[in-house]
Amino acid sequence: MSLQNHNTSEELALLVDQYYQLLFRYAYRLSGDRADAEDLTQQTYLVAQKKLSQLRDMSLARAWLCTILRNLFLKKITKKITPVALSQTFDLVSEEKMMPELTSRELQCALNDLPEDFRVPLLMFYFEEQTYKEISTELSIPIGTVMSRLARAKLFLQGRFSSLSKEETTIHS
Amino acid sequence: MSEHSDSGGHSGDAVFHDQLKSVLFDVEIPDGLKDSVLASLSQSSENVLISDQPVSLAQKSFLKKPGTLAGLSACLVFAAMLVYFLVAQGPVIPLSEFSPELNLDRRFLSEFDKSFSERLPAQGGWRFKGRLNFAPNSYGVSVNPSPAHDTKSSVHDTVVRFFTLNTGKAQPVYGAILQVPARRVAPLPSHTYFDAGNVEYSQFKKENYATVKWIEDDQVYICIVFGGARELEALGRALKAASA
Repeated sequence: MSLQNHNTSEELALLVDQYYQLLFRYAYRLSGDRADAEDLTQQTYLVAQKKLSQLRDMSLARAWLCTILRNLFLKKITKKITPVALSQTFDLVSEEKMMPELTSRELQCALNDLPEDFRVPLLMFYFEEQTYKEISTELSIPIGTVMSRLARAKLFLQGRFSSLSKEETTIHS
Repeated sequence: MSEHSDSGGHSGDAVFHDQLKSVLFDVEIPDGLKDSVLASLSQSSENVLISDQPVSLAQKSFLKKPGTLAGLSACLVFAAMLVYFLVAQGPVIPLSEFSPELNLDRRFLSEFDKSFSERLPAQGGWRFKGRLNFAPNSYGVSVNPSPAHDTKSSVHDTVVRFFTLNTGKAQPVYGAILQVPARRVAPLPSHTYFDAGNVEYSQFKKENYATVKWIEDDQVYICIVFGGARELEALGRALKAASA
């Protein structure tokens, strides 16, 4: 093996060591499936291996890898919208019920119900630590839309994990 | 407040923000994932082949023929025009796509983009004020959306109006009426008016729905009622009474 190849291997091994857990967690929250998340993580590193020369500054590796992973996920998902029940638009809760605790599993169920247009910016915000402006640039959507979607996504999640829900049949205006 | 902290103006929001952040990262890592990734990288680096063959003379001379270039250009222009025409029309959507499984949660819908003319059905009592109350806003839904990173090009395929029907009982009837240009739908519904007898009952996420589809002039309408036969019949009676 040449010296250059050896250095590349070392760099890649370092990137794996430092970020494989973050990438798997991000992939899982995006896809909702552990097997898919493993595939996405592997594919991310394979792409990174081919394009390692593009990474000139190792301090940007986290953002770079997360971007690769996110783009792989977006290419993979089908165009079908994540189904959301019509009843949710009317806030119909037939009886008082305890909302679940905010656990990892319950959170994933809630994320699975969140449409991708809202889930992706939310996860970019937390996993990639991107600003509204960066998310706006990456997704090619207006910054106002980013802010709105993030707010609505968090409101949606907050609603799922409120302490107690009472029966109500109000219509959102 | 920085645009990244987004911890909200209230302590409750900040607490939820911290909780959410903590739980988002609470994902168990599969055993052996790191070794598996390293192994695939190692395998991949062994398989890398670099091709450095020169372009053959035959390939080089092909593009230098004027006729070839002209033909290719004409094909490209034609293809571009065809794509433009098809995109402007919009793809045809299966009628079955318009169902309770559409994303009809108003919290995630945007205002209708007016990509076509919106109007309630003329037949029946949809346009008459009475016990049927429509929410003030119209919402747009893209049935075949672009990916999340290309949302700018996503045009609304259908417009949705949400309504409630006061039945005199404690619980009103809830529903939504969708409108989509007939040229965008296949196959077209067989009925040309709202007929409560021509209904599809379904269950989605443990909720019951009744769906009626019909075509009126050049528009297809889909009425989705939350509930079953009783709610649908109540709507049918109300529409009949309103149009009488």
